Amino acid sequence: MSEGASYICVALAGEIDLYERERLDAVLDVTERPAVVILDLARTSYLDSSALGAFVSLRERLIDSAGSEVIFAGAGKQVARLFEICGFDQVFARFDSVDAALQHLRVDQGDVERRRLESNPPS
Amino acid sequence: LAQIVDALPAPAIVAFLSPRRKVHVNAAFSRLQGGDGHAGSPPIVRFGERGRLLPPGDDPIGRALAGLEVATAQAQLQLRSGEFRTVVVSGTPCRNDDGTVGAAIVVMHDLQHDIDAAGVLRDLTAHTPALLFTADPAGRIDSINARWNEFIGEAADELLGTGWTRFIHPDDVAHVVDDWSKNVQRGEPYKGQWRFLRSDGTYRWTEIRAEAWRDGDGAIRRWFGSGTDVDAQRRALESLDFLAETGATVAGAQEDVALLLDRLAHAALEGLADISIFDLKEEDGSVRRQIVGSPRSRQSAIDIAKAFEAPRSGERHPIARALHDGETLHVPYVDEAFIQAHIAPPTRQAAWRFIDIRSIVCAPMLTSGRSIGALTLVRAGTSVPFDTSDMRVIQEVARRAAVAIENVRFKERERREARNLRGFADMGAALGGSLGLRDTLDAAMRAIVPERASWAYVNLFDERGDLRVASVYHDDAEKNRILASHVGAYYARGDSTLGSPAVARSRTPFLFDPIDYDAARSFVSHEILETFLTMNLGSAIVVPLLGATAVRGTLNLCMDAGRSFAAADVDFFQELAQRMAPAIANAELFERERLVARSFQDAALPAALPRVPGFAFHAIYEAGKAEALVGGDWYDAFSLADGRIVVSIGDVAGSGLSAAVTMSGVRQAIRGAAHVDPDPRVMLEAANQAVREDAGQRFVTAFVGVIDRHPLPVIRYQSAGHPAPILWTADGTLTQLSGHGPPLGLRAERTQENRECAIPPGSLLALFTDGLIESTRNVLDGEAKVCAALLDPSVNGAEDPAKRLHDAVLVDGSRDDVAILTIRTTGGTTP
Repeated sequence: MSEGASYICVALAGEIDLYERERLDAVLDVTERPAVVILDLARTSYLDSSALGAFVSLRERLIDSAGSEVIFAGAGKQVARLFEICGFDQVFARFDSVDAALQHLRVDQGDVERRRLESNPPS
Repeated sequence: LAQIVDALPAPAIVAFLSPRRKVHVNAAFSRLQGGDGHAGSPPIVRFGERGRLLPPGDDPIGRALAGLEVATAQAQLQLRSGEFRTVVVSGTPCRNDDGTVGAAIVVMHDLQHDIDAAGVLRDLTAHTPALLFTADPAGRIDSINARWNEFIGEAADELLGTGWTRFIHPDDVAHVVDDWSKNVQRGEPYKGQWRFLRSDGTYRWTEIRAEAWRDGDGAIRRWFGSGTDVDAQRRALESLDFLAETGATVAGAQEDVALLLDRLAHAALEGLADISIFDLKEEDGSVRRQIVGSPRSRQSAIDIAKAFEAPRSGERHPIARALHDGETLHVPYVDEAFIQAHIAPPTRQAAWRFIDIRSIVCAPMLTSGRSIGALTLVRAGTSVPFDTSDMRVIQEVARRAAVAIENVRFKERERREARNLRGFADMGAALGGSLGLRDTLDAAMRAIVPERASWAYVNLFDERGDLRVASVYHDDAEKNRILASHVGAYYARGDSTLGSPAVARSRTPFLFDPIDYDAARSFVSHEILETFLTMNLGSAIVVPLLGATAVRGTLNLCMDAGRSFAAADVDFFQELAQRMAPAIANAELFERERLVARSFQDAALPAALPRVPGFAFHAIYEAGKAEALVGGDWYDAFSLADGRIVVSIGDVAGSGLSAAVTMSGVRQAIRGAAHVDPDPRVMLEAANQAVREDAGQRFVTAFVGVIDRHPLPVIRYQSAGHPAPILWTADGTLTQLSGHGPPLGLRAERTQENRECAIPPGSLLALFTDGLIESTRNVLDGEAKVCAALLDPSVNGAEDPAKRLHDAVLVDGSRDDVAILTIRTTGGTTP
């Protein structure tokens, strides 16, 4: 585990699209540095390009401070394919689950700040 | 004389004229007056009125000593404590042999412990047809007064002893007898309501009150009782309870208040009065009058009463005082002097005389300490005057009617509020889903029609300043069709000083009722007026529509003849129009931006695709249906001087003008780089720079390729997070041109080498944006559909494969932008 880094796990559930953009920006508002943000996508069914853009933007904000990182965890088939298509695999680490990510990072569950965003069902 | 007084069980005194007003009191009086009265101190007996001592000459003793017979009258006896106690006194002068008065005996009956009993006694001695009786200590009736003969008839004597029980309603007799005999044993003052059989064969509710008269030792000597016919009052209160229950559940509305009062008058008041008048203050300050006559009253009298409005505040009139000052007025005997003194206008005076008003009670309808109206009951002609207990019942009826009316009004207000909130919510939801001006207006009208208006339309100012019909909505499909044919048509001259143009200019809503068609002809389009004439239009409310900076037009709400707008609807419409203003402003902004963005997009897409022997290029771009604005998708294809062909396709996340601007910049960067160094990697790096220089963080994906035609067509390419193009070859295989580079704008090592893929003659290469594979939000499913379509000969063999591919995959259209570029290689590749 990186010395002094903040660990934030953001669980995203449902379809994360343009309509969730404000709430997504809010849960991805990370001011701590360095910060390791684990995006828990186990319950994410869809991400549109605005959500992907938000991940890109988060990474660009964090990347200047050493030890910061954006990690994806638990992506299902759909989301995994999306990442493959848009080339995220080239720049983001991906783990099967949050536990696997934490194990890799050697971080205790208790040291992780949990956040979540539950998308509203499409109207 | 002292011995006589001592023998009396009631408090009594004897007063002597000489020595001056010396008194002797009996034991009962001493108990009443209180204090032990130091044995030696001479007794003092003083009476007062309204808390102040009367001059000795004016009090009952003084008057009896003056030789006057003092009949049972109410007086206030001063107790030893200095307080006053209400008693009924009777005084009898005692004369000497020569006829001069030497002394007076004054007997008192204590009433203070039951003030209502005093009221009854007062009524007894006044005009109420009171039934009196006495009973022995065991409760057996031993005397009755003559009134009973009128009430029971010839058989009145049968009441004596326990005979009265035969005149009690069979349903009541058991508990009445039980009640009475228990009370006789307890010796307490009695009050109960019995149904007595009247001479006409009907049972009448009769209130029986009785009190024990005790001797000096406290033993009961006699019961003194009275009966009062309370049937009308009782029925009034019973009806009132019924009305209060139903009133609470009445389904509101103005008519319901009228209905409530009508039922109240008929059910509760008919027995009490000849004419019942409700004067009800409306929320707007006016007074609504409702008059109900009893069947026995003259119709002409009722008609006269109905001809008058409620008196105004400050007017000299009893109803004005009840209505505006909250006072109860009880005038048992109305006579000419009263009319002269209390009614101001001569016409009203004449009406009082015509109706022959004899007795009147005006009671304020009070709720929460405020008068919302007045209830006036009138007895005319030969009717019995109202007594104080009638007055109390009428006060109670007025009070409860006020509460019931408040409930009805409250419910009405509540329902109106709820309806308004629902209207705003409906419209809010509708407006949230629409961005175009037309959608906004349609949504607003659907929130109004048909609940609050029969139909509605919107006029907007055109560039010449005249009003044009922008949108119309009628619930009736046929009428809607007819009206809709006028959408876009000229409606009215903008400079007219009448109608909608005037409303727009003054920015104030206006109710047109009725519609003045003659006036309308001078400024409204004749065709539209002709249509309106077939619409059974009765009245209209016109509300100005405000945009961001100026009045945009008017919202016109139309009501069929025979229906009318609710008074509160104008407020609702105004509020609605105010809420529409931001939506209209947004719509204006949106339309402006869409226009600009659209122009950008049009400029960004190539005007013409390359015409190269052996190749056929097709493309399609379709703006999403759900997405509010044009998106940032692009495709491009152009030939270089050396004969190579550059293709690119990409997607800037987001929509609107700024996305279009970014997209344009990225596309230009790719074009520029291609002319300098047609290397896909270099072109993408240039695009990456362009994205990074763009102020906002954006998610941009792109695919760029350079096609060499010789010796055989081959494409070298790079992808930045873009969906892989798919190559269909004539042998029926599909190949994905996967690139796997990260999206543009990310600071990442771009180490990937260019990839290559041969495009055999007779193949079809399809480049597309994510709108094609993500329309169902299931990217695996989307890719499968694209693959299936490309394998379909009707797609891969189509004349315009781009369009066919689009239609085959997006059967229901796309909510996102979609761009497709297809490249077909034909047989002959060498020119």
